[in-house]
Amino acid sequence: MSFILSNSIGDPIASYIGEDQDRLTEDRVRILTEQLGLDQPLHIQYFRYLQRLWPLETPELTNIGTWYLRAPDLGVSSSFRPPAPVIDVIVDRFPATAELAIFSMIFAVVIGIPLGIVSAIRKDQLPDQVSRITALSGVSMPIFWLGLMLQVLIFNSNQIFEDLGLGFKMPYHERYNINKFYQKEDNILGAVVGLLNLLPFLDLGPIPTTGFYLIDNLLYLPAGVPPLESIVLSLELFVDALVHIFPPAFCLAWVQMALITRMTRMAMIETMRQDFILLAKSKGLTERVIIYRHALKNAIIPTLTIAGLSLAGLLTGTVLTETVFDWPGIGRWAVNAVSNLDISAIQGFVMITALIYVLSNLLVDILYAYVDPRIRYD
Amino acid sequence: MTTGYELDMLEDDVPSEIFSFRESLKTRGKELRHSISLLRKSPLFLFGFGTILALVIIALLAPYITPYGPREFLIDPLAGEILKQEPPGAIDTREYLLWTDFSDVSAQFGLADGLLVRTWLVDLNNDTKVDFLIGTSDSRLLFYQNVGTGAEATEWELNTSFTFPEIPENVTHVSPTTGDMNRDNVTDIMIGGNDGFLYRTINRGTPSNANWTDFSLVRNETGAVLEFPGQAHPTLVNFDRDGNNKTDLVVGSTDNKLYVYINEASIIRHEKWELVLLEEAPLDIYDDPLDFEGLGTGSIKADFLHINPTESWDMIVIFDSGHYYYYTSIGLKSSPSFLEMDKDNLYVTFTFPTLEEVPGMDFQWYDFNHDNISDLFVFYSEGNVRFAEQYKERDGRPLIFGTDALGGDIFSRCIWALQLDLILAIWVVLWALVVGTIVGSIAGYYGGWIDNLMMRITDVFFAFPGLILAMAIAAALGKNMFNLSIALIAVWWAGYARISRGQVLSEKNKLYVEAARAVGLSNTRIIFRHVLPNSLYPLLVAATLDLGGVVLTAAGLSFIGFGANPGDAELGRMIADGREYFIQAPWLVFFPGLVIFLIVLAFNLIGDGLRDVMDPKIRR
Amino acid sequence: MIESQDTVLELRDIRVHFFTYDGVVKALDGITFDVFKGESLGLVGETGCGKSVTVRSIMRLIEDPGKIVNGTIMYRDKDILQMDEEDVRKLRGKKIAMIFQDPMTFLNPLITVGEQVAEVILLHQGLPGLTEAEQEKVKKDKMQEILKEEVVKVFELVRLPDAASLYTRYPHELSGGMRQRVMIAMAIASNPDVMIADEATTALDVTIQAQILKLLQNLKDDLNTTLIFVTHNLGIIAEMCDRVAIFYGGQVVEVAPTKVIFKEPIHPYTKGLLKAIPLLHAPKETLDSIPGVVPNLVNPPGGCRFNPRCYLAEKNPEIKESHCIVTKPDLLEYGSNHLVACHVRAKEQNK
Ligand SMILES: Nc1ncnc2c1ncn2[C@@H]1O[C@H](COP(=O)(O)OP(=O)(O)OP(=O)(O)O)[C@@H](O)[C@H]1O
Ligand SMILES: [Mg+2]
Repeated sequence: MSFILSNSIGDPIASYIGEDQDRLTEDRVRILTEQLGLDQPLHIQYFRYLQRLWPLETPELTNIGTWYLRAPDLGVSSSFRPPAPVIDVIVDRFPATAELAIFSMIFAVVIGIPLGIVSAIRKDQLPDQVSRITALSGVSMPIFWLGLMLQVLIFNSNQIFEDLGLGFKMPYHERYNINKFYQKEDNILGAVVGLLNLLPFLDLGPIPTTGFYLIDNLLYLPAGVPPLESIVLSLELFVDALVHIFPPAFCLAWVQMALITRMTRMAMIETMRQDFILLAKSKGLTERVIIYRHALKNAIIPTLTIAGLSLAGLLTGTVLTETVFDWPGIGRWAVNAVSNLDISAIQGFVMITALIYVLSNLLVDILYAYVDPRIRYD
Repeated sequence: MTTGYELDMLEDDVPSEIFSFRESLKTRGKELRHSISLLRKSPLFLFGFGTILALVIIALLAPYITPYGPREFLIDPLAGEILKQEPPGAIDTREYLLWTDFSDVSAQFGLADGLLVRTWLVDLNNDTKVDFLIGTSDSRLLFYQNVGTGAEATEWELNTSFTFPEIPENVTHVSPTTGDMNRDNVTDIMIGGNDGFLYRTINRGTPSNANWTDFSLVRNETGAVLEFPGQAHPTLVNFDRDGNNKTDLVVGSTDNKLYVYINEASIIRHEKWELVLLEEAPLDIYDDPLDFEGLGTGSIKADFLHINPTESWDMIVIFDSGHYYYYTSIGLKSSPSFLEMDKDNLYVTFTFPTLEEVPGMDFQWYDFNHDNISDLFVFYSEGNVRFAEQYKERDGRPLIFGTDALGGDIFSRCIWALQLDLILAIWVVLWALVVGTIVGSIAGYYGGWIDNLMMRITDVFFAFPGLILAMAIAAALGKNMFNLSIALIAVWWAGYARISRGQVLSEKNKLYVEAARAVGLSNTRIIFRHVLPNSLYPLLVAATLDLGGVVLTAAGLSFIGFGANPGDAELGRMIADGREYFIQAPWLVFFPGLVIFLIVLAFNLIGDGLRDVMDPKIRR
Repeated sequence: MIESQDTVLELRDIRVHFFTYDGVVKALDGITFDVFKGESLGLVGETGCGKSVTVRSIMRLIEDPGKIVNGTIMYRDKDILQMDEEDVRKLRGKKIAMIFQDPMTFLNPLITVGEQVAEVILLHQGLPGLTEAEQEKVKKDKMQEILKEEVVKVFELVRLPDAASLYTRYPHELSGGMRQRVMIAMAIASNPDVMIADEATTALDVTIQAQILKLLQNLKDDLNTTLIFVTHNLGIIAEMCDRVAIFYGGQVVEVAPTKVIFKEPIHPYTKGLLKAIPLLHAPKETLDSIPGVVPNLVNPPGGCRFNPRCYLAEKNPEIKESHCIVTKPDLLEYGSNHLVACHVRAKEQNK
């Protein structure tokens, strides 16, 4: 699939040369064509692609585990300086995107669903109009603009605090990265990984961090300091990570919240007109029970779909937000790759996108089954 | 029970379903009237509708509202001629970038025995007035504070309370430059010394209440000290190669070479926000230092500015011997390709008032009067300064949204951009609608393998985030507005195909279609005359919402550099252009963004109102 | 047959309008009748004549865009239409319970049937045999257990097979008849004064229908409740009901004890309705039907809504001109408990 997608993006040669037509000489085209193997028929190209992805050499029997555990070779991302293997870049960058996406999604769901319910119940009344405006502003806001304006605000708030003599400063531009001094023995996670590595068939290698700043910073408990100090430090780091994730997450969450609110509202309105709600009313149940016990469960199903899809969307690159906030996720990398016409990187990105979509659909399906008994058994 | 109704129908020989089609049209008409009456009562819908109406009128009347074109003029720096003016006939006001003559000495610095090595213009104490940071040949760093008043304050006094850390021992000739090296929005200082090393100090305090760290050697990523053959003149500049707003470093030295270090540090992946210098830049243009062999003697000072109405940096290079050269850049901002230019391509002359080449002189660019056009300061080694103002001649209209980095009127640019974006949105949605509807209705109507094939194709488009897909297509086609529109159409048609397929599927089994078929109407006729009109409403709602979506996506793509070219009046592009200065000049970003917001909000309000009224599931 | 004339419900001049985009649907146009304690009252009429709307207004369950614009519904000396929302809510399910037509769409698909019944019990009775203070103390799982026992009892009451295991089943796992029984269980769970069955058996096949009817009848007798039974099927009425109210186009045209209706109907519509019943013993070539169509309730015929289809009015053009198309006929008494709304009959009576 990712092969088709990356091929359908356009003539790779044309895209390689792209804007600077001056460089386009017969020679260059030929060399490039050979390099990329584009002179081969399509099915051979495809085969080559697969081969590179997961070479078909017969793994030795004892090695079978490592063979499967081996990361697929996705080529080298040349838009990086220095060029880095695509798989490394993804492993390095994806957690940042995922952290941002998940964090903002939690935000969006926690705010969006109640807002949607309120506006469905008070349809066409003030709460509905207010939530409609909030939601619509969310989807209408250019997210990069929102991000920039937020930064102006944060920056100026420093000035304001300073002028007031409070000496308080939003520590926005300083962020500690603990990856550098994160040692295996230092922290809980590292210790766990270390223990797992002791098992004979498993070699997780040095994976001391999750790449999620919030988690890493919280789990970081430096050894060799008094326990209290070490906890305080880890909390400090955690707060720091929180301060940094908040502005971009806020921007993203607003947009996601808008979608979720609207969806919840629609679904709620529809559900509230169902027959079984009438029955619930005729049973004398209070409005609250009707809404939260009877209607919400039914209304949540389409909302789940939307949430699942937008989570997938977020995970595959919050391109604009990452650009504006310098977030080192895969979205920015994708932009970089596309503008530098870095084919390997694009292919790798397409792969992971497809993977994420499949996974998030699976997740939504599982959630469905959890909510809806009708599809539980088939 | 047989009702009379059915009896009537049976008496008629004409297939009764034909009537039911007409009937369905009739009820549609009735619904429509009712819908309109409901919409009239919805304040948010009316607000959206009014806004769009107003915006469209403004866009249509753009040439009458604003005297300026969407693009500022492209001026040939050699001849001072206008190369390009858009749109033809829309403007009758002439605008030029003009220079005043160089003023006489307006400040004299007491330098004692030393000579001036380099002056750096910066608003170090954040009082919006430009100050001089002067490095001398007797190991001193002087801070001349601007004590003038008004917008064009030009009175400088030595500020002794502003003390810098001790200059490193071996350094006698101090060449300062400033930049924010730890990303705390407080300006820090780097100096180059005659010992060939670079040192830097970080302001850990605030601009007005500084707290400098001691000077420390500048190292690269691997920890190695940066070393140059002789006097080093560092210049901190933001090339913005990867759009990350980080400070890059250019160092000129006595070997007639200019060393360019691009900051690849990522803002949150490093322990502190310090410059990361790449000793060995692995690829093409940064491989070799730029060689200016034979153009002058002594070491090189470089300064960067925007002088052409393009996004890219231009460069002025001055030798200690007093020779100066102006390089204009033809590349993008992110990869300034003047760095690739050979000596034949340089513009030795430049249209500012000619200056004598005096050994030891120094140029600095600074927009001292805040008109967003850089002005030029010349310093001489004995300590006197002259400056020339560069300005844009206008017809005196008020610039209500302010001006951009090139002195363009943001208000008129916004209006032109509004027009462009609206046209783009309508164009994209119309084509997407046409393509999508045709594909969708054919798939839905014929079913079978055609349906399967077409829906698999739409699946491919759906499996992908729209922005990324559009980005890829736009990049592959080449970056311009037309290709952007093609990319957007390619992304958008699939949605309409789905909707119209669903509609056709649900509509095609209704009686009137079978009747039409029985009467022997052709398939195309059935689809276009009978089925489609009945599936129009969902498409209409989707299209209205998508008009907003297209504006948003197009702006987003232009923002990250796909689509509109630098300098184009396109809303996203304008924000991207203003991003470099947005902290100091938020209006560069604010107004274009506001216009996008208004357009999209208005379309969304309309679409939302329409949906509420037309969706049978939620209307009353 | 119940002789006592205690009324449980008194409906007076109920008018319900639906404000739709086609115009105002005047669904009920002055409905008036009484429901006696302990009886079972049948409501009959063609489709769309307002039976469901009537019974829903009794529980004040008319939803947007509908509105009860006029009338009083007295329940034990209190006007339901004037009560505040909280009081009405307490009435619903506890004093007046409703059984709906379609057991599939009226049961919440995502909640187990046991819980759906338990809900009613907990709400209206609390935990059986315990005071409120004691209930507070009961632990959550304990409470579930007690409730479950209670629900199983009710399930057994409505003859649901294997009642214990049903508790945790979802509606889609039950057959139509079982679902209907669950709905009935819900209705009787809190021992209501009045049970309203709105076409409770229409969706079921004939044998199940018979079982359910029998069940309803038995339950009514055992629990000594009042039953309002809405149906199209006059045969069921004959079997189940003590009295019948005949609806036409949002008006009540005739109310009488069942026997009277079948023996000596007075209103021309009732007569037409009875003629349309297929009779086993007197086979005919075709069924008689009432000519004309059910009136459009947006622009209903003036006066008596039946007048365009009425053969009596046809025969008495002057009365039609002067009364039928002008004023709505009042319900007049034509014998004990026999009320009829017809101008022509009234004129004939007066002569
Ligand atoms: N939500 C609604 N919106 C508009 N009109 C309605 C609504 N509900 C009921 N009506 C109208 O009220 C009238 C009476 O409807 P009602 O459901 O009471 O009929 P019914 O006698 O129960 O018919 P059936 O035997 O088919 O159940 C109908 O003409 C219908 O069009
Ligand atoms: Mg009904």
